[in-house]
Formats: sequence, C-alpha cells, structure tokens
Amino acid sequence: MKKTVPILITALCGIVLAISPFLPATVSWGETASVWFDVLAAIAFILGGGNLLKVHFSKVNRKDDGWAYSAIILIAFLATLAGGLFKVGVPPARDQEFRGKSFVALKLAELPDEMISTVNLKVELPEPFEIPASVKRQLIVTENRKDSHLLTFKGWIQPFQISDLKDVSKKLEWLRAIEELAEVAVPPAELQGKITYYGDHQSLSAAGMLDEQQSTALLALSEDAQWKTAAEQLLQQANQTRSFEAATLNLPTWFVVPDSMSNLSLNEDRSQLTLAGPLSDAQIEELSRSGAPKITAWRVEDYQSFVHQLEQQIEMTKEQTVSLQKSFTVEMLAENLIKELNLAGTAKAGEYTAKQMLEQKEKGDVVQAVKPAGESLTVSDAQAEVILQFFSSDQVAQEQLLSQLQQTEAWPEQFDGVVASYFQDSPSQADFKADMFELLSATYEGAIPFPKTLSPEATETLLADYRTERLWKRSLNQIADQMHQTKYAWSGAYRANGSFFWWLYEYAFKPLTATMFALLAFYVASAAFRAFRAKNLEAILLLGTAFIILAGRTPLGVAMTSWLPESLSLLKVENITMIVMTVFNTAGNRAIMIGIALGIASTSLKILMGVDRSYLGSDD
Amino acid sequence: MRNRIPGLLSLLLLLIMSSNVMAESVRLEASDTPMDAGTSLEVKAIIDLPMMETDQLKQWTAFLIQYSEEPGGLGKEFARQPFEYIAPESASDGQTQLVPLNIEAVARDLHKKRPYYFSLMAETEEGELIRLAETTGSVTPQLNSFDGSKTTLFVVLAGVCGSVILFVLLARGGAILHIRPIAGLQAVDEAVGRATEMGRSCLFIPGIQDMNDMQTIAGINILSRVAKVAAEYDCDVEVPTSRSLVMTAAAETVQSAFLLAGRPDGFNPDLIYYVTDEQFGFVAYLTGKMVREEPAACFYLGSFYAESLILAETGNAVGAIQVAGTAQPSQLPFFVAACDYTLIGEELFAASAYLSGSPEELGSLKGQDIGKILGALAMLIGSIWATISVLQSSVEPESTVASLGQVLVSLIW
Repeated sequence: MKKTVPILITALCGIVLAISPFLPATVSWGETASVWFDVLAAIAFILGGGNLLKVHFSKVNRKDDGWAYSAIILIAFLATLAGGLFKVGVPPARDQEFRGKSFVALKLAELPDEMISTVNLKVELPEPFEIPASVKRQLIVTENRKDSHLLTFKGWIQPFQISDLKDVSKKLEWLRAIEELAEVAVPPAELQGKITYYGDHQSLSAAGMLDEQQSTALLALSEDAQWKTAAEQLLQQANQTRSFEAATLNLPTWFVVPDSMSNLSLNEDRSQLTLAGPLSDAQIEELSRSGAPKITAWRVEDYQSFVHQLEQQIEMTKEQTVSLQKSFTVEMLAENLIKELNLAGTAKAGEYTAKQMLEQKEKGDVVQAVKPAGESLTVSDAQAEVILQFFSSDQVAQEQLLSQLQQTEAWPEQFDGVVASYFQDSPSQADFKADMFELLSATYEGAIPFPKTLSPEATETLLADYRTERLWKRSLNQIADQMHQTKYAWSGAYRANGSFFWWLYEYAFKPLTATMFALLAFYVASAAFRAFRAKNLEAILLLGTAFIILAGRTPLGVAMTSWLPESLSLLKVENITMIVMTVFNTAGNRAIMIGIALGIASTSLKILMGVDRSYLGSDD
Repeated sequence: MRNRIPGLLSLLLLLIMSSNVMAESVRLEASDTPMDAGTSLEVKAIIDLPMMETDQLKQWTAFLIQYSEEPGGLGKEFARQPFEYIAPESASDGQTQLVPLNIEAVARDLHKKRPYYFSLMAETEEGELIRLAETTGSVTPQLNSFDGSKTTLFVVLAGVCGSVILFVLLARGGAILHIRPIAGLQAVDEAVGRATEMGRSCLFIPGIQDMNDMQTIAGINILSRVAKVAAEYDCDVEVPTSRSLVMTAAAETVQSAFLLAGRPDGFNPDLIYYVTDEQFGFVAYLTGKMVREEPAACFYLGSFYAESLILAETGNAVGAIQVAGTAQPSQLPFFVAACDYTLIGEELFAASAYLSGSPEELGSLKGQDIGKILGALAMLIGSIWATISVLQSSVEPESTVASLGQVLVSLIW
C-alpha cells in the first residue's frame, strides 16, 4: 500500500500531463497537476529547512568534526530566514500604498443606500456569463422579469471596472447597461476625482486635501451613522496640516507654489512651508519643477555665454563644440512648439456610445464603434513665423507670444492651452545641463589614446543646478512620507533595496557565489591539461581539434593563416573552426540529444506503467 | 396577350436577377474550426468581382470580415484584404484582372459556446463601411476532443511509446534480450568495494534539479543499486541534496535498499540530508566536505550545470574513484575529462534497466532503439528529400530520380 499509492498518483499525474497537450478539454487538468506539484514542493521546502536544522544542530551538539562549519550554516540560515520572513528594514511597496490618498475602512455592508446604484438590462445575460474578478464583490445580478435583469452596483464604479465589464460581451444592450451604470454609480459632482471607494480593500479614500465645499458634500452624502463616522475620520486624515522649516528642506530660491496646489503655502519670508493633506507622486513631480528656470527662457546670447564659460573650464575638441552648439538653437525651440501644436491639432476619431450604436442598428446602418476623424488643425506659416520671431527676440514672457498668436488669422482656441503647457513642461535648464554633462563625459570616456574626465569646475557648472533640483525633490519625498498614512506595512518585497535581506544578498551571498563560480576558470585549465595529453590516437585527435578551436578563436590564431589566398580560404583557421563547431560538434551533440530525448520518453513510460519502481526504493 | 407573356416573364426574371446580383456575387460561409480548443471559427468569403458594378469597385479600397455577438451588432474586424481596382485596359497583359476573390480567415480567441455572426464589408477611401454579406445564422465554436495542430507530435510519441510497450510485452512473453556492457555501471561495485576497503564513505550527488526532472529520477534509480551494494559491504553512503523533495525520495530509496540487503539497522537517516537550493552554495558545501573528509568514491548522477567540473575536479584532487552521468550535453566533456567513468546521455536512463536486469526494463531499452532507428530513418529520408527539393528549385532537373542521381554523383565526385 505504501508504494501502490505513490505509484498510482505518479501514473495518474503523468498520464494527465502527457495527454493534456493533445486533448483541449484536459488542458486545465495539466495546469492543475503542475500547481499541485508546486504546492507539494513548497511543503517539502519546510521539510528541507527542518532537516537542515536537525542535522547541523546535532553536529554542533555532538561536537563532531567540522562542527564550526555547521554552526556557521545555522547562524546564516536563521539570520537569512528571520530577515526575509519578518521583512526587516523593508519599506512598504509603493504600488500598494496609494501615496497621496487617505483611507478609512468602510465595509460593503455598511455602505449607505446613496452609494448603491441599479440599472436595468433589458435582454438575457450574455452566455456564458461570468462576473469579472474586479467587480465580483460589488456587482450583483438579479433576474427582474422574463428576459430582463437588474445590475446592482455597490460603491462607485472605477474606469478599470467599466473596461472589465465591457469585455464581458459586445452585445449592444449589455454595453448600454454598463454605460448607464458608469453614469449613475459615481460620487456627487463636487467629489468626483477626489473620493473613491475601493471594493477590494473595503475602504473609502480621498485624494489629497478636501476643501470646505467638498467636505460639506461628503458629510451630506448620507445621514447614515456609519457613513458619517467614516466620512469624519476621512476628513480628519485628509485635512491634517503640518509645517516644515524651509532651512531643512533644501528649498530652491526659484521655487513658487503652483496655482493648482491650494493645500500648500509658503510664508512671506520663505522660511516655512505648510502642507495640508498627503502628497501624491504626480504632485511631487510638479512641485519639484515649479518655478525652475526652463530652457524656453534661454536666448541665444544666454546659451553662448554658458558655452563660453564651459570652454574656459575645459579644453574642448572641435566635435564637442559642434555638438554643444547643435544642442540648443532657437529654431529647435520653435520647431518643438509647432510640433506640439500640430500634434494637439491632429483630428482624433471619436467613439459612439452603445446607445448611439443601437440607433444605428435600428436604422439598418452598419454598426460602428468609432466615429470618423474630423479635420486636423495645423499651424499656419504666418503663425510659425510669429513663433520663430518670438524665440529669436529678447522677449521672454509667454503671455506676449500667446497674445501675438491670438491676433493671427485662424488661430484655434484650443491651441492656447498647448502653448501654456509647452512652457510649463519644457525641460529645466538644470536637466539640460545634466544632459550636457552626460554628452561631454561620454565623448571623454571614448577619447583616444586615454580616456579623460571633466574638470571639477566644469562638473560644477553642469551639475550645480541639477543637484539643487534633486535635493529639493528628495526633500519633497521625505515630506510626502511624513504626511503619508501607511496602509500595508508588510507589502514591500523581502528583497527590496536597502533591506536587511538585500544587504545580506548583495554583500555576502553574491561575492561568495561569484568566488565559487570563479574557481571554474582554474578547474577548466587543470581538466584541459589532463584531457589533452596525447596518450593514444583518440587523445591526439582531441588535442588537434582543441588546438584548432583555440587558435580559431584568438586573434593570433587567425593571423597565422591570414596569408592564405582567397581560393584556399576554407583552410583558414577561423573557417576550419566554424566547420568543426557547426558540422562535427553539432552532429555529435544532436546524436546525444536524440538519445537523451528517447531515454526520457522511455523512462517516463516505464514509471507511468509501473515497470520501473526503483525510485521508490525497490521492486520488492 | 399570349405574345406578351414571355416578355413579361423575361422582365420579371431580369428584375429578380438584378436584385440578386450582390447576393449571388458574394458568399460568406462560417464553420467551426475542426480539431481545436473551441476558441476559433473558420470563415470563407467568395467575392465574384466580374459580376459587380465597376463604379462600386472603383470606390473600394479593402474587403474586411467582422464578427459580432448578435445579428447586425457591433463587429470586430479580424481579416482584411486590400483591394485596388485595375481597369481592363490598364492591366499589364491587356486582360482584366477582375477574377473571383477568395478570402479565408480564422477568427481566434472567441468564447467557447457563444454564438457568433459574421459580416463581409467593403471599405471606401473615406473609411465608410458597406455591408456586402452576412451569415444567415450564428456559428458557435465547439470544443473538439483532439487538437489537430499536434498530430505530428502525437504520431511520433505514439510510435516511440508503442515500440517501448511492444518490447516490454515481448520481454514479459519470454523473449531473450541483450544489452551491451556499460563500463560506468559495472564500476559501481568496484567503487563501493574500494570505499569499503579504505574505510571511507561514498558520496552520491543526484544533481541539482528537483524530482520533476527525469535525470534526477534516473539518478535516484542508480542510488538504489549503490545503496544496496553499500549495505552489503557495510559502507556508508552519504547523499547531500539540493532539493527537499529529492532528499525525501533519496531517504526512502536508501532505506528500502538497506532493507532489501537484509541490513535495516545499517541505515542512517542522517546521511541523507538537504543542503541548499542555491547552486554555488551547494557546491561550496560539497567541495569543502570532499576536501575535509576525502570520500573514496563519488557518484554524480543527475542534472548538473556549471558545478559539474568544480565537483569532479575536487573529487579527482582527493583521489576518489568517480562515476558521473548526466543528460546535459554541455557538461559531458567536463565529466569525461575529470571522472573515471561517465554515463553519456541515454546511458544514464538505461542504468536502471541495466542494473536490475529485469527483462521488462530491458525490453523498454529495445523499444528505445526502435525509436532511434525510426528517428534516423526520418532524418535520412528528410535530408534526401530536402536536398532534392533544393536541387529541383535551382537546377530544374527533369525528374526527382534524375535529381537524386545528381546528388549521388556529386557526393561520389
């Protein structure tokens, strides 16, 4: 019995795995069998750990020969296990933490009626029907009347949930019902984009700080007591205020509070920064660049003086000077803006709603989801000229450019925003200079005959502003961490950078492993010395072949036969090497591989048939 | 009146014909893809271009096929055939290029058991879609019992397995089968005997892969024999493993071998233990152990990678008799160079049958040989066929026989 059961399990799993590629109905069986093996292997790993502890503890206990090695193994094992298991020094995972958002627990059962929406599906459910995993907790489908169903959604639907539901079926009535659900299962207008309900987390969340109007709307959403409590807690968390001393923040002189961030203020003498609510990654990015001098503010003379300053600090080659000159031109600034405008003006095809598509169908038209694209808008020659002249002149105020462009003929209104965002999103001078540092360093590294490095003065010129930007961004991240409410403290990967496990891996495990691997080089040499001794004919053949291969892969070997004429190129050592490797070596390898494949098939069959049971001990 | 009847009938017929021109000139058929997993449908569209209006044809730039989940519903395009109207007078050969157009396509990634409807569309330069035809009813993908795309693999597998089963049955029926001597396996007794004489232990390493690797299972099969001989000689066999499952399997095997040898008390479970899953951590432990304890015999039978040479060279340095075997072709040269005996590829899998001497297992080896012969024949015929095909396409010989002769002559020459 002890052996029959394993043989039966082996045979059953083996047969399932063997037939599943050929029988489509059994494909999932094969996958299930593989999962079972993984589960078994995971349990066996605990067994392995236990065995390791037992064997080495008893060695240390008995003070056997080499007990000290066992003690080292035990210490290393326990330290690694504890470090990995308890995630010592592991920060929470960024993607699980929803930085910039505050959370309070609110169970699905506690949701007020105001957060429950229902739509009617006037047809049968699509067959086969399965509710997507992302809405499984929140969507309830009930039969209403004959051929009609009610879709009830708890909470507020999110874009990814709409997308998942639309993928369930492409029947127009179904799509229409989902569109209706997307319209009704949303928070009040004041709270849209600020408040979210996460069904999977059973949590209510607020993005950033909530102003007075939003706070009132949140509290007024329902009179339910549980809702009120949750909403008040959320408001308390989302609106907590904290001040930071500017002296500790590396606050740059150019920093200005952006208009879009009403929750952030800087006092008059720029000594204190006050922040209400958490900071999101996007807000950190915006703050880190807000007010930073942009390359669009540069004019030709400014850039020339920057290049001149660099020329005094380093001895530049002609190529470097040319590439520096090419890196910034007013034409480049103008062309980029025109490109952005033309891109924004490109007509994009719209999309019909399911309701509109149903109307098309009723009319007998071909149902199309996408509307044909309209006419594209482009920058006219006159407008392009205005842009070029602006960047060539000494004026730097973007408002002046916009007013000039608005006076031109047929200037589209929608281009106004594009001009504003072009100036806002253009690279900072610090980023540009850092790129120049990379460019110059790269040309120096490849310098012949010896690589050079940039002078300290030039490095300072190129990286000083960049350093200021980076330090400011680091401070902003620290502020965000302080304002952040940790949700899943253990969500980080056990090997996260900076953790204890990572430290062990980087500074103990990797060097030791590399040392062991490096031993291979010496062993190859000693094995080759023994194998290539010309003891008999076979050994001589082996030696000769090895010599050809070695010669064919070294420059000196190739040079040995380079004098041969083209008609005898087959005899060149590199070509002989290639023939030996691609013909003889491949043929030999394939013969072995075919034998191995057949051996594996035959052994598998013997095990499945129970002919060979020696892996379970013996036949008896 | 009587004279008018044929004329009226002809007019009626003409009217019916003209209204059906589109229907007759375009056909769209959909059917279940045979022998698939029930996620695709085959669609065939036949467009008789000569029967269509030239003015219409001039407007069209492509034909496309869509599927939808309801009649006339939202379609998803899955096949597209670009089209350009070429007037007969501008055709290069002076003849019209308007011939019936066939489009065959497969709609994939469909839901099992969900009905689908198909439409054939013509697209104009402006992107407008004109429905030319649609299937009358729905077609539902059916889950088939056999995946036809894997027929060749199935035939090969059936051939190899069939021959193995046949020879196992023949062996059970009493057929006498012979197997050539394998030096590496004959050396097992010698190696264990030497270890016993020297009063040292044997080290058996079943590779660094888990029990789902056939090489590990083959290694464990040989361990059974090694442990039995060791039990008979009263010699210690130490089995460090790099996988927990291998450790439990090896412990069971060695215990059974000791039981079979009549020495259950000689089995020491502490000698079969787990070290680490990490490749070089395992190597570091083993090489250290080999240098300190100097085992008299080392067996490396299983799946090995870069550690093969480190282990074999260390074993060589401590003067152990070494038997190795692996199905990793890239590691075989290292074992050949550093070990006393090496089981090359299939010999590792044949070891169990060789050592047990059981007729059934020997039968499986003969079946394996038939597989090899079939493989060699397939390669030979394939090579000749491929050579002839190449020669036929480049030299244009008059017949296949002639081209085969040409090949033979060129080979002899």
